[in-house]
Amino acid sequence: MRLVRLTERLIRASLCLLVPRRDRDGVMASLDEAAARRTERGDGDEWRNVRDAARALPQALRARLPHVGSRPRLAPVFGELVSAARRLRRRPGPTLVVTAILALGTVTGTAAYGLFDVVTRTNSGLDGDGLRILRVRTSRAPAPRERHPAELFRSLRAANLPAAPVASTHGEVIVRTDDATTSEWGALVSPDYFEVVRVPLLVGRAPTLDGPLPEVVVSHAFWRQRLGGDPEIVGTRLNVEGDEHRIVGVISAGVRGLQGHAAVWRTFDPARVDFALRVLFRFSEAGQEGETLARVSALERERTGVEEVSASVLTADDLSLTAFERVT
Amino acid sequence: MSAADKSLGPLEERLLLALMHLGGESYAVPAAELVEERTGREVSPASSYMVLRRLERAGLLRSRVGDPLPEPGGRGRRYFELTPRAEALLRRARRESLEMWRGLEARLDG
Repeated sequence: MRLVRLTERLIRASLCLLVPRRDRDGVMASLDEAAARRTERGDGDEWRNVRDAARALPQALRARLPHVGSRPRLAPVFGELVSAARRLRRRPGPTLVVTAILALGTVTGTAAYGLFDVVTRTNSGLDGDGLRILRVRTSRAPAPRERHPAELFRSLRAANLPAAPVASTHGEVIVRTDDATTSEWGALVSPDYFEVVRVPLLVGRAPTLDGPLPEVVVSHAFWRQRLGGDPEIVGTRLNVEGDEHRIVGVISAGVRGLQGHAAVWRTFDPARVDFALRVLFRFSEAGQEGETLARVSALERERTGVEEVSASVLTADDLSLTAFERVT
Repeated sequence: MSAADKSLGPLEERLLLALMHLGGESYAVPAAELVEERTGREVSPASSYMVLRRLERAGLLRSRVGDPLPEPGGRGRRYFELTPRAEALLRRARRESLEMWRGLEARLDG
């Protein structure tokens, strides 16, 4: 008897957590009334109340996560969960043993990874004070996005926001030196990026769009390993993506950047790009962040015509890559 | 998906039919009991309540909250009523079902 009541209370508590607030009272009242009516009829099945509560759990989950079953990518996951629940009901013993073994493996793996991560985590090597990465969530794409159309970046630049936006993207590029042609990770950044993000330079200056030749800054590792650590490197040429570039600077040792390591850093013309960009701000005063995000939401609503738009930010630390990510 | 385009799940259809049997308006518990009585399958009243609320949001039901029950802290029951769209949907479901059954009665009745 006590076991039945305890089980029922546990399931009801889960149900309370899952059922949306608008339906909670009605759901609980239905369970109470059905139990009372059975008692009046002299139905002595104690477990029936437990089953009634348990059977409501999938409906509660569906009400709580209305998109899960209907989104094509998640539908198979939802199907697997339903299948697992059925299997648990039909063969509880073996299913619970298998689940326990899997759970133990997951917990052990997570703990080991967490330890590895804590020991080996690195940061971007940049001054993260006030530096924020823009995320936008819309009702059309409910997952928050950190990469945005160049058109959005252009509209933000034109909007005279409290903090000026800068942007970057990251991809593979072909770099040719005297002794080898290799594929490297390259960063493309907006003109004010180095200044706003405060990318520290060992020598030289940030790349601009003004020189007679396209300009490039190289990472410390690339400078040492591929360019021999030449102290007179500034002013020499480097072929990137088939075009001759002038090396104008070397980034300080230990700087990884916000999108993972990049060997070569170039500047793009914001008026001419059409690829997705990561947009950043550096907020220096209280209130700048809130005002900027409100205006970003309004601009994106206007640009896309989507009513529900919300902008938020990540810190540079949120983006710190773990050793696991670097290895893989 | 609009209510007119909606296809009903088995429990949804049975609960709508139960509401019709109960005079077109009822609350969740009698509807669940009627489905259980007629089909012989256990139906959770809490599930039924949530399904009825979902059908209400889809425009197939209307609801009103009755007077509070005569007990300490008693809340009013929520009574659900079919809308014309639900009746049209049930008619369509019946027609489609009968169409699929046509010609199979002799084979499956035995």
